[in-house]
Amino acid sequence: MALVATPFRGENYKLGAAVGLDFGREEKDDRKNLRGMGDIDMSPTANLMGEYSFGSIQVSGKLTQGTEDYGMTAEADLGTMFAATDDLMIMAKIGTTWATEDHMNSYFGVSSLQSGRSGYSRYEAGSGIKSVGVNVGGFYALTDDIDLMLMLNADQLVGDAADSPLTKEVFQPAVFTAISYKF
Amino acid sequence: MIIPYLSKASITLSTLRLVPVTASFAVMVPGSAIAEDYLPASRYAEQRAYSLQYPEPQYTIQNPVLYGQTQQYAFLDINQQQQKTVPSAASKAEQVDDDYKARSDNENWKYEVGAGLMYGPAYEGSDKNEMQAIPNFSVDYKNGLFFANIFDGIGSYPIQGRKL
Repeated sequence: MALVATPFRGENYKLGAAVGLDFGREEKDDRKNLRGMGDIDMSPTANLMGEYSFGSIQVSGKLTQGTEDYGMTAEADLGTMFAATDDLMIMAKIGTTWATEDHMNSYFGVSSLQSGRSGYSRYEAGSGIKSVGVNVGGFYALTDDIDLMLMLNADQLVGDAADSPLTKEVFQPAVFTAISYKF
Repeated sequence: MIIPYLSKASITLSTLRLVPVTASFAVMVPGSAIAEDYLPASRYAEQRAYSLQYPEPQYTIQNPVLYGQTQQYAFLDINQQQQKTVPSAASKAEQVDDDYKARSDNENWKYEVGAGLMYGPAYEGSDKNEMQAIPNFSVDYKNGLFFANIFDGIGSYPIQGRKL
C-alpha cells in the first residue's frame, strides 16, 4: 500500500536548505497571560536541515535563523518509523531544541517596559536548551489517495524557559489530526 | 506539510516540533512507489535496451504439418523473423529516454492537499489550550529535491546519498 516505505534509491542521508516563516506571538493569542507583553513579529527564516538513517532509526537536525526577534534555534531529533500493517505507519520521535539568547528573551524574557505594562517581574533568559519533547503518530491509508494522520506531541520546557514568569505550564501536550488527499 | 495559516494566534514552537515529523512522512511517501520508478535514467535505459536486444524466446505455431498419421507442429523462433524490424540501438535508446522522461515527469511530482485540527497551548508556555483549523498543501519533487509545504517552507535537499 501507499504508506509502506521503500528507501528512496537506498539513500540514507540528505542535506538541504529552505526559507520559511515563523509566526511570532501576539498578545491576543492569550489575553490573560500576555497582556502588556506586546507582539513578536512574524519573521522570515532561513533553515538548514539534515537527516541520516541507520537501520530503522533516523537522526535529524534543523538550524533556523530568523530576524533579531526570532534569533536562532537548533533542533535535534531521534526517531523511528515502521509499518504496523500494510495501511498503517507508526512513528515515534524524541527531540530537543536549543535557542540563542535573542530567541529566549523574545519568547520568555520580560523587559523593563514589558514588566511595567504587564505586571510580570523583569526576567532575562539566556541561551540554552529550552525544551525536550516526545512525539508519536500514526498515518493510516484510508485509500490509495487519502491519508489520515493522528499525532500526539508533548514538550517539556526546561532551563530558563521553564523559569520564565510567562511560562504557566512547563508540560505542553498537543494533539493534531489531519486528512489529506495525494495526487 | 501542515501549518497554521488561518490564524497565527496559536502558533507555538511546540506546534513547529511537528515539522520534522511531517517532513519525514513526506519523505516516506514518495519513496513508496515501486523501486523501478526510481532507477536512474541510464540504468533504466540499459535494462530496456538489453531486453530489446535479447528478448525472451517466443515461439509461434506455424501451419500444422502432417507427419504420417500424427499431427505435429513446427515451431519457429519468431525472433529470427523479426530481426529486420527491430529498431537500431540508437533509436531504441532514444525511445527509452523518452519513455523514461515521460514516466519521471508524472511520478516524481507529488502533491497533497488537506485539512487538519490541532488542539494545544495558545503559546509556548501557556496554560490555555485551544483548537485550531489548519490547512495543508504540499508539493514535492524527487524526494525533496524541491519542496514547498506550509511547515518547512520552500526549499531543497540537493545533497542526497548513501553512506554507512
